[in-house]
Amino acid sequence: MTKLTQWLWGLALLGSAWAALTMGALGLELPFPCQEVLWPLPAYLLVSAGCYALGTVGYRVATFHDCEDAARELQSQILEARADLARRGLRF
Amino acid sequence: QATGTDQVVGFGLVAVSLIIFTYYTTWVILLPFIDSQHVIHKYFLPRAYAVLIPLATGLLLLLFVGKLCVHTLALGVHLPRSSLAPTLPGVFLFLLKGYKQKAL
Repeated sequence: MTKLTQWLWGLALLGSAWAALTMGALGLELPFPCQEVLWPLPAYLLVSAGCYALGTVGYRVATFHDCEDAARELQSQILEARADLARRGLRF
Repeated sequence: QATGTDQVVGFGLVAVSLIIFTYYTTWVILLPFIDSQHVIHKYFLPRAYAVLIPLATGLLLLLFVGKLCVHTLALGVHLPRSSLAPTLPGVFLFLLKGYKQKAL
């Protein structure tokens, strides 16, 4: 089974469990606050996943170490390549 | 060591995500268990908005991503070629090859 099918199966199972609970198909009498928490749950999970992604990206951007030497070397190599290609006739 | 702007932007993103997460968690998870007469309910919109606002934002984001894709593709159209139509069979065959290899 591929990763995609695994994800889809998981989503289908959790989704049907959520749908069954929210629409009272199982005949359980959940306390009202629990019902109130249950129906926005998919939206909540999506928003939390989005926040986690945003936070992780932000943290990694903030803690990424700059490599001054490698940056300078890369810039000089770019200039070299541009000059070489321009000499061979490629127009930028 | 990361440079100044990177740190500002990075930690700014972390702060924004934490703020959104705590506010939204309080709204969705905690408020139903707090007595409806409590003053804290004043700071939160009616519950339906807890689903509508993320939904609307998600659709807007999709719209912008789509616009960006169209814009980026349109940039490449001004090539020495009469139109994109002749390339379509090639694109289709390429995709087909990809799917055939995946099935194997």
